[in-house]
Amino acid sequence: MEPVFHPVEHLESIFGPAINRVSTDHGIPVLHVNTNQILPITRYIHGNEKLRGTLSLLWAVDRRPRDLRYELWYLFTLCEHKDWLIVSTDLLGDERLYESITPKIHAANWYEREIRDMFGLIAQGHPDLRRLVRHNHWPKGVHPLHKNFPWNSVLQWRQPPGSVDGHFIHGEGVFEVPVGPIHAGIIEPGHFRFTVAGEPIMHLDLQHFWKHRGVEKLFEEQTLSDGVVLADRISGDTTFGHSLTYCQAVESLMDIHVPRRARYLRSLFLELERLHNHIGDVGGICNDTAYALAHAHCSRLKERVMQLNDHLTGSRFLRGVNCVGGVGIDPPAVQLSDTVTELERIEKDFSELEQIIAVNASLIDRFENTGILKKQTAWDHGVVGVVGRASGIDRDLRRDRPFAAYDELSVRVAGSINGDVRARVQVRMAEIHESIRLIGEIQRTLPDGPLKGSRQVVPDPGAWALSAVEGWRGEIVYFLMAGEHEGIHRCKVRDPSFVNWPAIQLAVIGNIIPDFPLINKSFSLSYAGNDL
Amino acid sequence: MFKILKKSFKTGIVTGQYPPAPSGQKFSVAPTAQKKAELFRRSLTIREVDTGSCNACEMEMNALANPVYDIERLGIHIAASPRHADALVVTGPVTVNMEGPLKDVFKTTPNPKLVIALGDCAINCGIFKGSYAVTGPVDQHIPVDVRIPGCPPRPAEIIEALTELRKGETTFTRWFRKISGEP
Ligand code: SF4
Repeated sequence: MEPVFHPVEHLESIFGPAINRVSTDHGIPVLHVNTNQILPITRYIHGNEKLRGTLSLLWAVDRRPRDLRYELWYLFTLCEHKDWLIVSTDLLGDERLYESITPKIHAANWYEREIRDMFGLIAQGHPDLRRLVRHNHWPKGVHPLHKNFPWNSVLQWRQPPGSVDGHFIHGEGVFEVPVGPIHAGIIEPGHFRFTVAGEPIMHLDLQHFWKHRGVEKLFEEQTLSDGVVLADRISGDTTFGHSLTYCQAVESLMDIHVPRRARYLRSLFLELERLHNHIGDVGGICNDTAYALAHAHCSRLKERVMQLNDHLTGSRFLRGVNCVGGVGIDPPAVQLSDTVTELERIEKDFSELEQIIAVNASLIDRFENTGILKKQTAWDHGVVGVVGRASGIDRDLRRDRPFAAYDELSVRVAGSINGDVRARVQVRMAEIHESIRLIGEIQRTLPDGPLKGSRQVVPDPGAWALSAVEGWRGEIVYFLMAGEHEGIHRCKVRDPSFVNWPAIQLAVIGNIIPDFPLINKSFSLSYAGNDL
Repeated sequence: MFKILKKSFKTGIVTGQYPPAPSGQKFSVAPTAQKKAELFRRSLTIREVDTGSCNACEMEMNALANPVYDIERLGIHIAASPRHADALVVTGPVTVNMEGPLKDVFKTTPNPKLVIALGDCAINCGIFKGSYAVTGPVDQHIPVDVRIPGCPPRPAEIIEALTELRKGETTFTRWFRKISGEP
């Protein structure tokens, strides 16, 4: 029999003295290493055949005023068992420089740029250190997540000096097509800069963060139990996913045991959220090929699900449903069985529509081989969620790291290997059916009991927790560090959009601009959740 | 083809199948705004601008166009460009990065125009109030005529507010009142 492989022991045996200390918190191993060892160790974790870790989150913490240091944290998800592993390092005193891992781990690209903007810590050797969050008109030296930067010192908008600093390609017959920030439909703002030669796109440069509202700083002004109101409002379409991730982090800090009934209800609401978004997206994707009929039917069905949400919880977006410790709403049994009946009708309706879509040759022609994201590219960039699964990345937190009631429900994970628009539509369609099935199962097996657990401990300042939820878009990850008097010292929010946006730049290459809206919709990413 | 027709017949007309806006929450629209909206009583073209919302307000604006609410039946259209718009609907607090684009959009919208602040954020910044990256509610940057509160307001409520807005007198009704001797 082969000996059991322990990732931490394996790393210790290889890097020995380079690892200062290993601690385990909430079952997650943390390797504390020297700053100059970050690159070799993370590179090994990423590239080693047995570990094959993908970077799931990279964030910084300013420990002032208690300690004069910054901490950098690298969270990896290992390929087997999807275990988590953290590598952490300290930047002491005035130290501002550390070595970039982006040249070896592409997924770190935006994270390191974000850290530079928010903290002023510079990743040396990063291939593209342009500003990300701070637009050109922001004054120099403003790093909002510094502890000595007041949360309410409002910045002034100024006419941006000079032109946009993008990546440009020059040459005969090469054109640039700027789009946005304000788009033609009812969409959120973002700036896209295409470089084209003839029809095909050679290069796409994204400029986001127009909607940056300073969410992470605002969290630091909240107490642990009040923060859920803000989490509800990070990305409206993922209201429940975000508040659930936040609540789970607080619950793990306060050692709250969430009762079974509440966990089941959380799964139920999460699936409802997945449902209305996926149905809307299938319609939206069809609409981008000018197939208005499917769009009309889908938006009609989506509306029915949203009215169900409203009926069950009093909010079309499931707002205010989650609270620290459980859920605040207990729908009566009749309502739940009515919901399931209505969902069965919706499923039948949707299945008929699927058949109509499937035989529409001109639609399928637009879908197939459009916006292909290859598996290797997706893996390199740590792509998550629906987009990842459509490209052959078999990851779903509901199965891999069960939360809420998913340890007792078995989720059939959808997937595809083609990575084109059609694959993403197919994954969504499969997930719609699966969600309806799960909701039925939850309704049948919903246990009785209390809705809220009570807190056991007051978290010490500096205690931290990580939490992850498979929202409808993909993995939502929160890092939460407690501050003084049950405040929040640091809250890192990561919407799946943040990792999937850079990947879209690669999926569009070689496609024509008229297909961009289609590809974009098939990714269906949030701007609000990305910009924070 | 047959399948599509069958589906359409089976579905029937769904327009109007939504619960009414919660009562007791009558929207009062300032008479000045109603006066400005006089021109647009039968046809109002809207351009939506998101200046930093959480996107739930957008989703409700999008919902207005679905077959259930179908605002086209009320003569309200969504325009793709501010140059074609009679009214701007602004959602979200104004972030420091969106302040410039918002002012540009306002400038490019032809007069006469209405500005509608949709959602609590647009009206008073909501939960994002005070943040370093939020430079104020919409009316700090451009004049606002109508405010539709809610987080987010339900589509039914938006429809009600837009109907209320276009209820004011027109030149014709004023003339009619005058000749019929009504007060
Ligand atoms: S008012 Fe509410 S729903 Fe609208 S943008 Fe603000 S937080 Fe989101």
